[in-house]
Amino acid sequence: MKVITQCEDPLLFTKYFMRDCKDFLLFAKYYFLTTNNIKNPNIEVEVEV
Amino acid sequence: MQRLLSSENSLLGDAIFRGTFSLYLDKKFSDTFLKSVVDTMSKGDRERINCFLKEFKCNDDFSFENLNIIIKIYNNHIDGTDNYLEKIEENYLNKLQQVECSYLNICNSLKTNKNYLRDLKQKSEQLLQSRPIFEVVGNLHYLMTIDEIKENLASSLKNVRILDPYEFSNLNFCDQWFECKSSDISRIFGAKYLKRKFSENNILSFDVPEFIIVTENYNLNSNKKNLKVKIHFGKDFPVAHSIFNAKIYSRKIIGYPVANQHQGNHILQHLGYIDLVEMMAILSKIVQVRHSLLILRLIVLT
Repeated sequence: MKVITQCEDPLLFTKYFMRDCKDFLLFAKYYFLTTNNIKNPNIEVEVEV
Repeated sequence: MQRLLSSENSLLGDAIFRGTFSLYLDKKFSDTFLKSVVDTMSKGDRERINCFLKEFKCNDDFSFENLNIIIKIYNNHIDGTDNYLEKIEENYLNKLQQVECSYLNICNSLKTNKNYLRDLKQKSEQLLQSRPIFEVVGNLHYLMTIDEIKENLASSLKNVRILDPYEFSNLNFCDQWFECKSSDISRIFGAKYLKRKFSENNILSFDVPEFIIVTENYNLNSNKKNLKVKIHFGKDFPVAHSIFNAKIYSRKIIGYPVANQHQGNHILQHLGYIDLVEMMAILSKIVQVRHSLLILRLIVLT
């Protein structure tokens, strides 16, 4: 795997990283859990319909 | 050896990056140092590996200086066993550092470039839309905010009738509906998905069930109703699971089951069609056989 440094174009970097869809989806999941501080794999949301 | 997750550099010290990459490492280590293998090691080796894994979880400034030693202990153990087990590859640490670099780059870009998140969202949707299950569990992905998840679910339920118990009891032909055994919301999204696919493929002979949600959670002074939906975050995308304080009703289908006659239909096969009536018959046979075996065993025992 080619490692692209952070000073390069981020989209170009993402293109390389996301060649493996699984890697990208995993990153997205961990990013979501961290930014929302979710510890439990199940949460309840209230949806207004 | 280069330290991972070091706080020496301000960028590396970013909480979002550190949290995200820690979750990656946690999963990676549990997939690498298999519990079934570690449990068969000598007491000393087992304690060393378990101590390493515990320390990593508890300590934010954890250093990886011990990782090579731990890998060596693990691989030596595998060399000494007769079972076919995979050794940890030599460039394991390099790969971790590459992933660390990738996570760091993306987290920094997300923090500094607003358009970057939009581009990643688009990419995420493109990747997931090729999987039918994505639509059936709510069209949700992890680059959405919680509010976006709520909006998306509300939008997916736009054409579903949501009634309070009083409205439902006053419904004409109330007896044409039956209560579903569970409040699994994917049955509603699944029907919507099939309807869209049938329409796209110009299949007019198949229909899908119609559903009504009857919720106890409503405000008499408002036209809006609130649904409490359970979301699961264990898969590649968030999964809308079930609705609390609500019942799902399905319209009764009048007629004879004909699903068996269409099992060869290539579009149904492509959509992952399963004949539940037939499956229930198979399950019922299995249960009957198990029940018979149980009775036989009881007779033998008595």
